[in-house]
Amino acid sequence: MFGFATEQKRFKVGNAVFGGQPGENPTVLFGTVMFGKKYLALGAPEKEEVNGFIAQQGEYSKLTGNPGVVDVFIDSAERVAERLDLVAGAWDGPFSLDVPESEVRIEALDYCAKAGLMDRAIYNSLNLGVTEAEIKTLAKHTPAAVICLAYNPNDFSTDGRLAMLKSGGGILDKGLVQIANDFGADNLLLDTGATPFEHSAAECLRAIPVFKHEFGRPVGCAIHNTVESWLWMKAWRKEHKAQYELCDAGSNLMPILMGASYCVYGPMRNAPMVFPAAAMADKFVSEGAEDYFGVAPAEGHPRRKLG
Amino acid sequence: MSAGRFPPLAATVVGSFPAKPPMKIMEASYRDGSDPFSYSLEESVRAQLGAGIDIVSDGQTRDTMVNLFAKHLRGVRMRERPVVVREIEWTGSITADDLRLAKSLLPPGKMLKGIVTGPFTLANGLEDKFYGSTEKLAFALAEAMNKEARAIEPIVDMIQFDEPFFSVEFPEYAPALVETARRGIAKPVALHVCGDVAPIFHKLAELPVDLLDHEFAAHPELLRTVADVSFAQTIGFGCVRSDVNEAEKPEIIELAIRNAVEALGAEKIVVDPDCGLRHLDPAVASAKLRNMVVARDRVRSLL
Repeated sequence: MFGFATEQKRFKVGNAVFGGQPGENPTVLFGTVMFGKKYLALGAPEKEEVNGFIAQQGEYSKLTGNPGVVDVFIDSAERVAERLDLVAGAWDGPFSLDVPESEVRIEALDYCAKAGLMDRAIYNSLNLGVTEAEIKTLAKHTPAAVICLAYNPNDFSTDGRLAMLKSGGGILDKGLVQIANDFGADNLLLDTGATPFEHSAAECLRAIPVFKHEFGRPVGCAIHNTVESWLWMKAWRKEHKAQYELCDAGSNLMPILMGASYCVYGPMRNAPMVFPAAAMADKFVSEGAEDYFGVAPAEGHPRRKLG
Repeated sequence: MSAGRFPPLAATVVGSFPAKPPMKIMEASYRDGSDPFSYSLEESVRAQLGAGIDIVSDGQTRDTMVNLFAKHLRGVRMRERPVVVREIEWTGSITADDLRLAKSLLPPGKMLKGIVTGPFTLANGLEDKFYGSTEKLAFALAEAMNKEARAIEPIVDMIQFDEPFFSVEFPEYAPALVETARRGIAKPVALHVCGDVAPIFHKLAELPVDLLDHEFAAHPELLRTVADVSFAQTIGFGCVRSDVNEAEKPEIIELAIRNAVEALGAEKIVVDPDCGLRHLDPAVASAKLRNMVVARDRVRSLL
């Protein structure tokens, strides 16, 4: 368990408080919706299912005190309006734009601005593929928070990931933090960038306290991606679904112990497993932080709620 | 060591080529787990083949010559300058996969060069917090790089050790270091040393390698020194500059190669750029290689 001498920035998006010292605020949990072929065409059953997942995450969030974020996966410009309308109708809290393509991210920003959603939009993510057009749009429509993804294919070490944020890692002319500051974003969430096993997977975890120390900003990651890309597990899970889900959901406990402020925990259907487990980890971290560093948990922290 | 293990006036490269993975591919690799550097490797190999290069490299697009190896050695902690924190250990081939991919792209008749950063250059590129002397660290690295060379030998047609640091300092243990690094390698072994090697060429000529590769474009006076020394190796004749971002005209390169042929004999020469082309614009790098091959062909036609 860690305490940081560097001042730790805190900010709110909706009801979710990001940042602070480990043990202070509950871990914010991002559950992803509409990832996969199943959702390419959104019929009534799929919409009902998504609504159900969002409601379920909300209930678990109320139960444990861990704020939930709806991570909306959008893989084409044609699906921007439909998916954002669905989420905006089902949820009045923070959501994140989980968009692989720069052009689609621009489209999603424009749509959020038009629909009046910017004050609860989290950009996922500003990364090495950022374009000039994207930066211009971000300057015009700056979301409530921006995730800066430290993934650096040149160098998977913690230093390589750090370099992506600080200097551009030899790929960009400037670090992502500076780029975000330049277009006017200061509510930054640093993502250490999960990589597959044997691609320095552990550095994604090691980088959490390093980034907290270096930047004093909230840090997190999508560590479940490492589990998802594990080749052995891909074959084994076909016959061992429950065990796989345990590993996938359980992986999120590791970043919490390393000081993460948020976890992008994977499919939102896993909320019933992830929220209680994360709350348990938060209780451990909070107890340790208070015993050793005198850090008191915020109101609504799982340690206060779940005696 | 003997000359004659390389086709006379074969065209080759020193190693690196300025190819980068496309940004879209780099970005996508985060989600799909693909290796973006397979794209830059392919681009690099195709550029070399397109220029008519006979002995091709994988382009070394993945990282710098030190980090490329250092980050895979146990005992090295990666920092801005990598740090040796405990005993160096080679845990498996570092470049074999890239070389297999490069080889799969070669048409019949083309050859592949495996490139290994030399132990003395690696030792000087790392911060030592374990061995206590450059010599001890260098020999530990020589053992590790020997394992790498043995691992890639079945894939490649020749192996090149890069020791640019020899032109800065040539330690008395250099021959033993080279011997350790190349121990057990039956295929032709080259040693690339850039910079002005005129003061040490007589020592380089004593080293147990088959080819000595140097910068003759940046240091044209070196040809006179080399011609005055007795040596058995083939000479890698650097005939285009790797530090000038403008392609030399074929006529200029042709003149340099003709001078070399007159001084040393065609059977003792392969031609290549002075050094790796990593720092040039890709179009310029390709043009340099193309012009070099055109110049080489003109000289060959006169033989």
